[in-house]
Amino acid sequence: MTVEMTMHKHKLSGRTIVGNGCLYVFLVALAVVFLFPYAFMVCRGLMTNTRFAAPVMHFFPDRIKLSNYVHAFNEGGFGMPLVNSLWLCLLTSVLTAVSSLVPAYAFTRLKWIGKNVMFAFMMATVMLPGIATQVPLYVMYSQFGMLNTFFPLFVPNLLFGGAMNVFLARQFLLSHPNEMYESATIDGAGPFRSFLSITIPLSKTIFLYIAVSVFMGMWGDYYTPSIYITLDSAPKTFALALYQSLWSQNNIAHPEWTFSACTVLSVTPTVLYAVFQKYLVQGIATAGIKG
Amino acid sequence: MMLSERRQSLKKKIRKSIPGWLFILPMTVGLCLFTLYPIVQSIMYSFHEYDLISVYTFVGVRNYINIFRDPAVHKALVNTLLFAVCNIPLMLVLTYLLALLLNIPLKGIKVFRVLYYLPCVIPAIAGGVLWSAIMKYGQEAPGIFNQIRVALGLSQSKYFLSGDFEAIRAILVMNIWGIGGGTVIWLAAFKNIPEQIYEAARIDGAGKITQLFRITLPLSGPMLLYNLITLMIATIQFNGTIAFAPYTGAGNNNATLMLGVKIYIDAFNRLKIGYAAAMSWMMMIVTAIITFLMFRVNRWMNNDG
Repeated sequence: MTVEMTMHKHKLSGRTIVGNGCLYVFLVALAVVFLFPYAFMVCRGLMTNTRFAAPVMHFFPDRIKLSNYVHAFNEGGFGMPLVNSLWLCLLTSVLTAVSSLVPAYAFTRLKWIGKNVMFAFMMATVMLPGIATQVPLYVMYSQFGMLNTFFPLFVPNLLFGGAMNVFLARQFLLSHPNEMYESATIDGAGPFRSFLSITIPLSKTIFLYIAVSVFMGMWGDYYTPSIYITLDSAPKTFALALYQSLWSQNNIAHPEWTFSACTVLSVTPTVLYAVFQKYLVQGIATAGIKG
Repeated sequence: MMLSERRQSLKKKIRKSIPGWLFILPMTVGLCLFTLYPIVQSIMYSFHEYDLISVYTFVGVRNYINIFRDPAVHKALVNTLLFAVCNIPLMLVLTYLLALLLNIPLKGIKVFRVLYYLPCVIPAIAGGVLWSAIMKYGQEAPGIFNQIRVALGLSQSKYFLSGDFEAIRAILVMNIWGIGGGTVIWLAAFKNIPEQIYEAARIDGAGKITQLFRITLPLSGPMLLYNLITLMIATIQFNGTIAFAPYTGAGNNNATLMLGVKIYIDAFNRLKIGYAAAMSWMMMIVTAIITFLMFRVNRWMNNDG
């Protein structure tokens, strides 16, 4: 019996090594397929103009032309939009994290009349598709004279970070030990004091999750800005500038600059994802399982 | 006496509620201003003819009736349905298979999880630019895909520039590179299956394959509903073609015109505000009905099973 078991084990491990080897080969092959569009984009962005426009579409550049990046952000016109997107996304992501934590704190740590009703009301808005409110919001912003400015892109997040973010922040705050808040209350701390000195410092995980995911979402979004910003003279976000440049003279003359710009547009969220992967996956997991 | 006592306690409750109300105030204002008010307005607009500038005429349910008469809506509806019927099962199966693969406890599997996710990180507009190049059609400098097709002896495909189903097929192909996103959710579901169950199965002599069919598959089932519903909503409201297809996403011969694209064009390019609002309500009602039915089917299956 024992001999049989060890033999069985031995046979399995031999098979496992071969099996694992095959698996690795398969995984690497699949990774090549998955990364192909990304690599294609990076390579095209490094090509010379002649190589790019050659009668045969090449994958690899013949020589690496880093100056494409300089040109794309100077003559290519993506410089100012890049700066705009950086500060706009940074501002919005931090504001959204705060405006998600504030109501989450009210939902978890404070007792007040109407709490459950308010929570149900908020959660009901999750089901509402964005398109149902987009048309009237467009009219509203146009009446306020906010079209062709950045205001429509971040003003809503100033007050309310979105139902899903508030919900996630609430789930997170529920995991805080109650004793800390109790002892703070005994020490004479009011709700505002507790929020600032306990909730905020302890909410790094959820703060980062919300901020990073909002940053990434807003950074790549060409759709929302394309609704509100239509004039040529209006300030643009990076993604919008790319979208609008597709029909421009620049793109026809120097399509490789467009690819350099696309690379920068993609590398930013890639770096963020790589650095904050732990927080992002946790957040997606919570959102998925609770939702 | 009793009454005044009750009033006293109510007063106390109200006083204790003040900090909570203060904390919830910004959110309430935000919800009213940017969600509640637009919803009410949207309902109003859907019964009016409105072009943002001059006309604001009550037309009753004419906008809703026109939806059924509009040939472009029919086309969009057919396209959306076709897309949904192909995209939803394809995505569910592929994300699940990839999740199973990435769930194998191998050294370095985490690296592959990140690598496979990377195409999802590429913003839609950059994706549009690079897929247009990959799928480029033409005698001069065809894209990589058409180079492969020609090498295989096939004729070139126009992909999403095509005027028929080929265009939607191109979108399905593009979507395959984005399966990393759905995979993450399945992986989270797998992680929630207690390790002890696998241990018990191993002790009972169950192999890897038995464990897969008897534990992983049935226990990640509840996640199917969530994935199905989010996927369904995303598919019905899909407007990603705006980033790459000609005519603001409508495509040649309206081949990639989906409901989301149709609403976008009518609202923001043609300024048919009332009609677009009516369409967005129709789309919302359809989404709600399908979601409700899915929940019902799910409950019915769980009760029987």
